[in-house]
Amino acid sequence: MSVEFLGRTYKTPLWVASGTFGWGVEAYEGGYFAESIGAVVSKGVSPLPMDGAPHPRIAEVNGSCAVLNAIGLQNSGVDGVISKYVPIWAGQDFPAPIWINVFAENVKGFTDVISKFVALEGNDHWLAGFELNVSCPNVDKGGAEFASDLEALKNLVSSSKKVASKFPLMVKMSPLLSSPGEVAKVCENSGADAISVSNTLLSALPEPETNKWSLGRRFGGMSGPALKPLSLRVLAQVREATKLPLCGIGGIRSKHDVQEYLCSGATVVQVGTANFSNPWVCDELL
Amino acid sequence: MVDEKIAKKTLFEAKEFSLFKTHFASKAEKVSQRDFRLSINTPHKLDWTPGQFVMLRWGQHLIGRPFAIVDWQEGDGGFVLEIWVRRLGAATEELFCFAEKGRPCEVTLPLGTSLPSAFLKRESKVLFVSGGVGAASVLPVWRQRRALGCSSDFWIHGERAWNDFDASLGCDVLCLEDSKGATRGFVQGRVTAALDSSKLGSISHVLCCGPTPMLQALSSALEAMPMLAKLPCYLGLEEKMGCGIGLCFSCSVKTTEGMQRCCMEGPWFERKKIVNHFTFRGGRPDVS
Repeated sequence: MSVEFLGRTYKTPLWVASGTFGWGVEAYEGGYFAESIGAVVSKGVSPLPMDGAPHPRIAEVNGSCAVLNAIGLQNSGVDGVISKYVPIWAGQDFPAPIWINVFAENVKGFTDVISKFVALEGNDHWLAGFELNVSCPNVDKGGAEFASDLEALKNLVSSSKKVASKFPLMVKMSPLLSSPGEVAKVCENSGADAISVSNTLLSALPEPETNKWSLGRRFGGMSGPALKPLSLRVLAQVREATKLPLCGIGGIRSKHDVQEYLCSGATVVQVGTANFSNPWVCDELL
Repeated sequence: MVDEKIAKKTLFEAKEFSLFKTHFASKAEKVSQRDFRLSINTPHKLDWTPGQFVMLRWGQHLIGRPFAIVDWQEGDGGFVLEIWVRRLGAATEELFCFAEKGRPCEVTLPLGTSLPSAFLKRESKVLFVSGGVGAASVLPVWRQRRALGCSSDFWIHGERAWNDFDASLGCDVLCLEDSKGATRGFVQGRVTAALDSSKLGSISHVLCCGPTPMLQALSSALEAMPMLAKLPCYLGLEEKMGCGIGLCFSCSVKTTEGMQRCCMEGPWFERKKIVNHFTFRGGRPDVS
């Protein structure tokens, strides 16, 4: 069930979402890389290393409708990621291409990360593109999310596209936007090649039994089945506003969930939280 | 009996662990007021070492939860995996009900890195320190050492209440919070005081698992005791996990060798390698 997406052929439309499949290297080296994974979207890569958030970092909502996480974007920084993982991704046997998820606190941070990957030799066969996490705070603009300031978003996307050069640029939308169509249009006009819909939804979960927050960082991103209808709504609005190819994300656990995204206008989907309990889940979704 | 149809169809194998879609053995043995031993049927048995753990998922839960592997033996027409669970809230109450009814579940195992081989050598003398259900993590190590003929180990165990104590544990010293009026942190203090025992003279290795405040108190106490401070000491860290196989980074801890995951590089960490872990924690809803 191969699929064309921005000039590259993927063996399936099932990708694994950023932060839910490590660096892809864990499964490859551990012998549990599901055959049906079409592409790996890496954990977020920042200009400098980040230790991440205090514990606890993950909690499940009562009723098993969603999972909250605040990992705190732990990663070893662009130089660390390149030295640790690129030799493995670039290996002939690595089973899927990589989309690099990028985040930073200012535009320069984004372009620094992207340009370092673009400058690598022989990156054509393993590097599929860049996914921009625009839900992170723009420190240069007082900490507001990039996606909530259309001028800042425009600048970010156009600057990133310049350095990404021939590699596709996909913008990952927040599900919190009041006008997702308008934001998608801005991305398209600024040079984005695709939109992924959507990121996690910032949420909170207190524990009355202990009078503590379930997460060390108090608030965290909600993922899982509860996110799916919200994400499908945002996807539909983005679909109406732009002709860019779309990637659907949020709460996929079954074949039916995949079909819901595909019939709402997505060309490919990303499977996220479901990987945690079953890293072979993509093999069950085709 | 293992349901052969389920077992054969739904085994996923990685290099070092497998995912079984199986079911609980319809038996949950109560060992104290809140603790029970829970059995899970598996059609195969894999190589495992004491100190490793399992991710268990039941019902509609989206993510599994980690439990120490207490035992994994032949039985019931296949193999039976044993874990210990303390009924602490809605999730573990539900788990108890599922286990009693022999309902389906998923297990991913064996997970975590093995302890250094010195902990299982006959010539070592190990001081075990556990708190609450942390005992389940050190028990298989203690048992294996007993089987090797190591009879001079020393085990200090702490509980909040007598009712929570499983009398079959076989520990040498039991520290209870409710024995002389409860004050917060009392167990930690008692466990720490027990470290002064003259019986600890020839200890060569220390192994600890329990609640984070207890590990923190112990770590400080050991540091202050010249006799024990230099010994190889491993702490079992039980951070919340999303996957147990190194994908989600929920259980990462800061070490002198960078960020490491309890599920992959742990759950046992050399005490002196752990950096800032005990204070790297979140706050309360009413003060954040």
